[in-house]
Amino acid sequence: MLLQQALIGTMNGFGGLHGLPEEVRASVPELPPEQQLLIAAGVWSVYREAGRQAVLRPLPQPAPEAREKYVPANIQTMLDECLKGEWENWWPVVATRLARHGYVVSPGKMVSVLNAAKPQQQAAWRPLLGTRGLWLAQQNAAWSWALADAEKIERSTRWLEGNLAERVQALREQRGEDAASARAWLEAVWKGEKADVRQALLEPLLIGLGQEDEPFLNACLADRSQAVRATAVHLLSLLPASALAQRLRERAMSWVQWQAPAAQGALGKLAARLSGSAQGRMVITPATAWDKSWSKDGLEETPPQGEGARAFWLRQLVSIVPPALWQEHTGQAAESYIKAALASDWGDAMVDGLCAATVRFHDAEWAYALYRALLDRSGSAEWREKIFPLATVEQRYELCAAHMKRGDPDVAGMLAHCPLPWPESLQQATVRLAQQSLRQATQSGNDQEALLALGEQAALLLPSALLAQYKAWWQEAVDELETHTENWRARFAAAAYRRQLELIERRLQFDKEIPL
Amino acid sequence: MQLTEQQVLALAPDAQVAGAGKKLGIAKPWGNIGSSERAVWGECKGSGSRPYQVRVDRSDYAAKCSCPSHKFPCKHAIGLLVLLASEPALAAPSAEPEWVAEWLDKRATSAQQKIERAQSPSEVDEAAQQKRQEKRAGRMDEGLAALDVWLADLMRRGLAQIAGEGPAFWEKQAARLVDAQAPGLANRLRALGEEVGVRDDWPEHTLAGMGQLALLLKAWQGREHLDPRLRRELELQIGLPAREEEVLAQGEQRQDEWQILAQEIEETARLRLRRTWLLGRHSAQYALLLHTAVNKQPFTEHFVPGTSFRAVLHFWPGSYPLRAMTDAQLENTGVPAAFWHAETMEGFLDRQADALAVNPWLQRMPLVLSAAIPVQQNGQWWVLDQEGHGLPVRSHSVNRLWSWLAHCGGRPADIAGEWQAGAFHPLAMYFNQRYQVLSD
Repeated sequence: MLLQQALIGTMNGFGGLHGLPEEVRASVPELPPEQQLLIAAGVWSVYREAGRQAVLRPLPQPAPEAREKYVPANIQTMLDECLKGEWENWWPVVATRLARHGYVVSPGKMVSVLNAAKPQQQAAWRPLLGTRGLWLAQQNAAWSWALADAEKIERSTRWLEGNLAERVQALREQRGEDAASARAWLEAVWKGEKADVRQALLEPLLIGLGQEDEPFLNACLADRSQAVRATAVHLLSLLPASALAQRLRERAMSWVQWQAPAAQGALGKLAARLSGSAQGRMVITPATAWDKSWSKDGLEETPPQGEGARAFWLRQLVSIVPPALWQEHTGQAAESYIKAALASDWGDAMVDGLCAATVRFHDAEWAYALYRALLDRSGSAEWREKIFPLATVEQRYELCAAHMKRGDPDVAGMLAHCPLPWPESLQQATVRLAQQSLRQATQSGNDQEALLALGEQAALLLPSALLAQYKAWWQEAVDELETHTENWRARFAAAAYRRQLELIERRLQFDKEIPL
Repeated sequence: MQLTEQQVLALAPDAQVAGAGKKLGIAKPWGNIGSSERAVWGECKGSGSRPYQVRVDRSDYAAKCSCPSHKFPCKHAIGLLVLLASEPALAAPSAEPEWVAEWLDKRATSAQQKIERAQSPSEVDEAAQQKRQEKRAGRMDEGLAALDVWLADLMRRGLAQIAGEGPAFWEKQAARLVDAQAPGLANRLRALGEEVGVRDDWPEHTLAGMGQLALLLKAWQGREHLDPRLRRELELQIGLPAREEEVLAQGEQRQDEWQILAQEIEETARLRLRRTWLLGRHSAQYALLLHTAVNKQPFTEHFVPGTSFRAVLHFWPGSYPLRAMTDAQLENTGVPAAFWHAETMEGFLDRQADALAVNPWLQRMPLVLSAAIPVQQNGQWWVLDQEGHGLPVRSHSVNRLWSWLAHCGGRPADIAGEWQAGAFHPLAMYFNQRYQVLSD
């Protein structure tokens, strides 16, 4: 009543004070309406506040009882930094070891972890939240990432009503469980979706990809959107029995042929061996003219700047057939095939194509062979980086050690793909390379980037037994640099080396608190 | 007397010093660390040729360092305290070196001088002071009369009309009040203006606030006939608090051991205002310390939440004494492991009713609720007691509320906070017997 009067305003009429307890009304003296209203409002607000009663509400379910082991304070600072995004390589080790020991973040930190954990780190943070963290996450929709799948909202609800990211995730999960029903889900909504949504939803078909998916994918080849067509081609190329894959294989085999050595006399044989074509040679004849039907198979007509049309088509074709095809086709081992390809006129296109195919089809054998073949080839660093993780773990150790023996400190990227525990040989090679590079760097003052990246990987991944000696070299280098304070480059390097020492110190402390 | 790292870092004037100080909290750069009853000290190797001498007074954490930094406490002082937080054994009791003793003695004498000055008020030109007071009173009366008219005008036009007015509408009137020497009223008005259109219940809230202002003005008009304590309270509310010297000499005094419940720093354009809430061990009385710092200047006194000290508090005269100040005789007494007193919900509501009866304009009340359980539903937060009685909860930062929930796990625990504008604002609690600030 009072509020209504106040909202309307006394100039539109004043009917006196109504709807108030007698005591309140009686306390307001005779005054003009505005004053009455104000005084009454003031008295009424104090009256109400003084007479406030608590309201009965249902009691909540407390968190489940659990004796949790909290992360010690000094490790917590490291976790704070990992949360901010530092120590990206070290983070998986920290997380797994802490989880293994059953450590949990303290309640004071739970909220910041739930708020700030980056998507790619979330799986690792989950076990560190403990029972209470999970209980907390259940109460806030923004923190649903922390919940195990079982507690999440029903998958089909997420598929039908979620945003794009949730729908993709739901489809992925469904594909993992029942590929056919997931495809049925997709077919049901297909016509109604926009182009970019269609493309995003097509990608989960990669999970559990099988021959039964071919009809649907073939239909996608005629889709209006270029992105959808490209994705469909990519998926079909991975199905060896699909029509598309067969067409591509036949075409590839017709362009790149293997000529077995003709019967030759002794001199001929000698000449052949000298020219490296003793086992036969590669005859590459890419098509001379573009065929329109090829664009349906995912090939593009116009080459990029600086590349010839035929080389471009060859490269594309080789990149979408499985490398294993060549072994089948020619009976040659990967190594010799690659060697022949490099030696041919179309070497660059062939090698780029083979590298791309290796990545696409995850072929470990070809990754190994290609890597070794490309070690000495200039300009191949980018491809080598891409195919290195595809080799088997054992092969990676071997390749890494081989690379290190050449004295090039730029191996940090490779080391990041070498899972622990490292074999003795790799440990020793790393240690020797670090020492060597450090000595060279301090003497010549050259570019330190590769060395520092190597140093970081080594500090985090070497076993602690070797770290004492490792630390001593860095300390030596810092001491040496600090004698040259006039040289700004030396000061800069000294600061960087001191950070390395800090990192080693951290690592040693971590090992002490949270042993392996 | 042990501080945790979190408490030490809270002493730093800004984040940069806190970070730099934390980095110095390792043993390597330090030498000659020692402690005595009065202080701790150490020498820190810096980028200069001679190490910096750092001293920290144990009674109030004032620090002095020989480094050229403008900030207090500097990163070296923070570093020393951080180091000692994790390795207290490093500061073995030993004889105070000269550079430490000299500084401490000088501080003691200047503190003594301050008390003496307060106790013997200086000679003042009586007549001139009288005239100044009259002039000020005249200006204020004018300003308050103008506010009266302004409020009445709003009632005439109706609150619905003002919903569309921007902050300038309120700011203009608030500025007039500041000119009229009534900053307390100005703040109230500004606060009302900020909530228009923001709170769901803004019409009721605004009307209630305006009503309270009207009551204040009415009471002020009849101040001659009021109880002197109520009259002092009115002066406080309008923004004419007594001066520190006056409070030291004439205000109500209470000797007790005081627990620092919580602390909040409010930043405005040019000023930083720090509120520190205290709870007396034997008296179970609450108190509020207010300190200001201009711009980037540090606060001159340090009170570390979660610690306790013995002192005589001097309260500002009023009908419900809350605001107080310390004198120089302060003695740190350690780190309590729990809140010394806590109220039931019913107990608090009774206390609030009694307080409002003597001071209807009370806006904030500190309290420690016992065995409290936070609960949230669809973004609305409540605090419940074990029988399910609930009061509304609000906070500047929802993370603080989640942090509260995380710490107590939905089980009853004592919580310290403030009752303000019809809701409970939680500030700090104890977890595993350690004091925890609920962070933003």
